[in-house]
Amino acid sequence: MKEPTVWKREYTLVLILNALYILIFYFVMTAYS
Amino acid sequence: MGTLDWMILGGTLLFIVGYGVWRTRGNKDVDDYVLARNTSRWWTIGLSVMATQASAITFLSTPGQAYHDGMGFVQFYFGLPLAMIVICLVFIPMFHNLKVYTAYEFLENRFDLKTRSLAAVLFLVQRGLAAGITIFAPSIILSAVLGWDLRTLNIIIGILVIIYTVSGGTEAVRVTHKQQMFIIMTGMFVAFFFILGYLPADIDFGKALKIAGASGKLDILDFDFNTSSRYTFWSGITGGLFLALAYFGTDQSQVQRYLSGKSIRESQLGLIFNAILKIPMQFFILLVGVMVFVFYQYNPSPLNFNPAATDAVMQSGYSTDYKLLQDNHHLIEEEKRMAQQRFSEALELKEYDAIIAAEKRIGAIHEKEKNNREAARMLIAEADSTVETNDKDYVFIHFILHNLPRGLIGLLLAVILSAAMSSTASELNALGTISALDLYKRNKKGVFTAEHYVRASKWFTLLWGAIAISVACVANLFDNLIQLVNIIGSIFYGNVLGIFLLAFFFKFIRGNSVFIAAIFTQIIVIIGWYLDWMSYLWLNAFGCALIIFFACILEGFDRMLRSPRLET
Repeated sequence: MKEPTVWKREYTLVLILNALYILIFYFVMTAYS
Repeated sequence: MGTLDWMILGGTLLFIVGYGVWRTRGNKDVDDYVLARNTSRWWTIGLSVMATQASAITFLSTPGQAYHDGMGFVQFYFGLPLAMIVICLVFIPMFHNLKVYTAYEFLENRFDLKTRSLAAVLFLVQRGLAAGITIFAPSIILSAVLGWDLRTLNIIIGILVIIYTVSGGTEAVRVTHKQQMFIIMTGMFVAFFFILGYLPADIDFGKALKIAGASGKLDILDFDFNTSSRYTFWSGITGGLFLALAYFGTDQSQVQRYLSGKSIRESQLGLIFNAILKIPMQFFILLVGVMVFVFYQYNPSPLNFNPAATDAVMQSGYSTDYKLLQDNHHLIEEEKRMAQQRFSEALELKEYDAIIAAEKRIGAIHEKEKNNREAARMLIAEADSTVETNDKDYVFIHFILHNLPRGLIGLLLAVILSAAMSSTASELNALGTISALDLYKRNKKGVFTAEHYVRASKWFTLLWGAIAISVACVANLFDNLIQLVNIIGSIFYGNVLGIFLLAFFFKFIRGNSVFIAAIFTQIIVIIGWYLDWMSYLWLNAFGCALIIFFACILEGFDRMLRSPRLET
């Protein structure tokens, strides 16, 4: 039986953390370049 | 290499092999051998997935990439977390619910046997060649810098991997991946702190970042829409997503890692672990390369880091010209040291005009150095067209061998060989499994015991190990084999990913349409590559789009021909 696709909170965590990484990269780039 | 280095290197490698064999002794049935009894917890899956992807060339090449071009390469991984979420949402539940041993077994459930066999054969061709290159790529670099015999090195790496992979199957790969990742990360952290320690006393980490930033090495994000720039935010998010979906979702060397999970939840969390840690890990490896760059602002570096290239040109008629370039290089380095000193002093005194002037001076010197290195590369190519002139793979290993203390050299070489072994082990494990289950078991008539199929898996793994070593041993006969294998991967990946996407999202499509569409697509992609229609990286997207298009058209025709005509 096919289970419904369920969005879990870990996926949101992945999106938030990776967005945070990109913000940190932007900060490092502007602060040290 | 001192005695201590040899002891650390030999001890580490023998421990990994011995531990893998010991921990998996007595595994008897297919569940044990192929899925490690479905006992893997999420952190083990996560480490195993990361160890499979991180080959030796990752640790040799990535710091060199940062040394030459800065940290922009990290953008290549931006699509990976999104791909992990898609695989957790769609791929893992499908695979687990059907209790498949291989990704291609799912295709038989969804379509038919011929589609499963076709996808399995495409995988074997592509991954069989890639396994040889996974061994060959670090061997060629280590043999060049250490003077070790290339063939012997290929055979040693191959045999070490074969011993524990054949003996313990997926569980051996899983347990050794944990040790290998521990050694790899310990080695890289120790190297990082040693590099910081080797910088001049007045250069702390913050100042080192300023120095790297002044030379453009910290330009991490590039939002340019120009398609000629290889690594941009946009190409990372789109191309990176596509490649990661194909690699983690359809390549058995990765699928087998998370299929061994205790439950769907453990498999999903394993990939989430990878989605959270992959970008920081790549960032850190690139940062190591940037610190090596800062180190060489104050210490002499060779004109070309590949010793084989330097030997080739020095033994040719171009040696006098090359010596002139070397003298010029020494002068530029001296000039650079002084400019960096002025920059550092200006930073200390917060003299902004002096900082800007020093940055401009450093930029001009870097341009001069780049042109001088380019002239050296051209001279090397003139002297010997077969030798590798791009020296980015040699930067980090040169630093390790010429600067790190005894003992640490052995540890870092263990890092590189562990990484080579971890990727090769997953590849051989997957090749053996696919050969035994998707082709041998599925197509051989008769009923056999579980032991028979485990024996078959072991023999196939051994056979693929022998093939990988043979490919590694003849690889240097071809000029551009590494690129060739990437091209072969791109030729097949798009088609295979397309088959899986059709299986997941196009419920009305049946096996015959997919099979014919896959054959048509493969032929057209090969023609497209041969006639150079596009850069080979785009063949992935092209192949995927083409098979979906063909399968829809064929299915439409098929249904139209089968449906009864309306009487008027």
